[in-house]
Amino acid sequence: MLQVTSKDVNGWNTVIKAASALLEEIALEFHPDKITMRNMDPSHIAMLNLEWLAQSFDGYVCDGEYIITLRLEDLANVVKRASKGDTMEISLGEGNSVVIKVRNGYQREFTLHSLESSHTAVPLPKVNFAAKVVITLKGFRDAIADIATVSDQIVIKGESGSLTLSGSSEYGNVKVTMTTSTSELKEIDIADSSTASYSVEYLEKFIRSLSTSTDTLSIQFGNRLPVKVEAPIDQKGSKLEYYLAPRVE
Amino acid sequence: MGVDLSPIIGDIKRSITLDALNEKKLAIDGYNALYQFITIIRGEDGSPLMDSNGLITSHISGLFYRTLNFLEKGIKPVYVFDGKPPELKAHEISTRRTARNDAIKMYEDAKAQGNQELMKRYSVRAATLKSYMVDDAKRLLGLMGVPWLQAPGEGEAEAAHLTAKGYTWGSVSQDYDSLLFGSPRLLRNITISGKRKLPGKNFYINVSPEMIQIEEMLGNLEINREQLVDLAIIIGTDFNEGIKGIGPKTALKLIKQFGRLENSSDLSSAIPEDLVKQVRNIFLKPDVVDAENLEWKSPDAEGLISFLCGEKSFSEERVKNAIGRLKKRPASGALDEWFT
Repeated sequence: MLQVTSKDVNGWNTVIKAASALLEEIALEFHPDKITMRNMDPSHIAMLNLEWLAQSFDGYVCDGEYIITLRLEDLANVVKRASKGDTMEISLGEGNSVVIKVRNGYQREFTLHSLESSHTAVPLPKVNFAAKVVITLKGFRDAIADIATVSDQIVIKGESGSLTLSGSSEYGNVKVTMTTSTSELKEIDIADSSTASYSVEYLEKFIRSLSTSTDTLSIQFGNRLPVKVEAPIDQKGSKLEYYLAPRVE
Repeated sequence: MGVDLSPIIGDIKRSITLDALNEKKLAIDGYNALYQFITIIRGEDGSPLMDSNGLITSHISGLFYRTLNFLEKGIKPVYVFDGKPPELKAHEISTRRTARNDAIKMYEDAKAQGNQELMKRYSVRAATLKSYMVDDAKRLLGLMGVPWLQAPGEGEAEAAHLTAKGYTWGSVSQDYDSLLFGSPRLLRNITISGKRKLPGKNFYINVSPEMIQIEEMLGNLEINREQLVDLAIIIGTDFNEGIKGIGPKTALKLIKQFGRLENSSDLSSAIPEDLVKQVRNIFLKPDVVDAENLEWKSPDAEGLISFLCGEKSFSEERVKNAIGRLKKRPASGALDEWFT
């Protein structure tokens, strides 16, 4: 049996938006204690890794292991129909279908057909990150928007006590510097001075998918290593991780 | 022109973005791409871009900026140019030549009347790919550090072969013939994606890249590749005329019913047995070569400026900017490197 209930669809919106930027289908794995999802985009540049704990839901009953693959567009269209204050319940229907019930006084019931999954399990990248920063979502989002004005790649540089985000092109240069005394930079832990560059477009799409209620992000990187951005989905320990391969020079 | 299989392709076309092709090697049908550039890259009155000597440069402009775009996305293109066409294509080539000559006459009439809309329409139909344009393209690719191959026969067959043998990940062409030649993965609208004006109409459609995988297509149609070739022979290819009145959907039904063309007396009497054999051979046993050493090199900046600006009247500022992008061309790697 599977029955997952949320009184707030914000979490679903975040997961769907983040996945839609990379994928056309989403393979959600339901376990007795959590929902997980690990998918890479077709070019293998970026990966999403979701860990959505049972305690984050208002009701969570799952007596086994279930994988449900849905077309993201279909799921997004249904979730869009839920408004603030609606309760959303996901359960298994007949055959390969998923039933989504949206309640607020009266009940609306949507049935989506689960796809035959082409999804194969992928491992997490094994990376020894040399730098970790905790930064506010607003601070990181603004820095990316600043850099996007001139460049399609962002250079992240971490040195003792300071984080520099920069971009340059034939149109100009942008440099955003934060130190431990900057209110946007909450923590900085640099084992080795590190610099790497990443696609602004990919990072921007992920950051845009996060709910504005997200307070801070943890960002890990290193010289020519992928970047890992960890965003909490709520205050109960559930998180969405995003890995992005570095640009190659 | 190729065989129009669109009515039976159905919903197995997958949309794909250029970003998703990062790090992928693609075999591009060079003639097909150049022909698109010379028909699409034109001024308001339909005239193509030209250098100071009056020689057409639309093909160079399209090839330069589109290839640059591919490289920036991390795509590794290899262009494949046609060699000697099969003898059976002579009729198709002659038909195309006649149509072009007619279009040239109509263009001249429209020009005499000052009718810009008709001038544009007929100039596109009159577009011809000349040998100097192919030479220009090869020279430009060399200067950009992009490999190209001279196919012994049909370029599309060679591109399909490179993909089937794993030298490249996909074949790029607008024609469905790539599937008949056995390409496992055909990519369309790659060289011309974006907004495109419908011919003869005053509105634009959005053309976006799409992918067709032959295994999925054949599974969906419930036929094999040999049967797909027979189906093409029935409706007509660049190498045979086909049977009048039979379109792809009917041909599919007939092939599923009879298995092979010669199992139906009506079909086999409509197309000579020898012709069927020859066309099957063109698609199933094409004249192709392997490509062991495909290399993508650094661009020759001075050579590009001399060729594009010195010989072909391109703006030096724009070319220098483009070369800057070409030299940078940083693309994202793939995460796979960190799985081991």
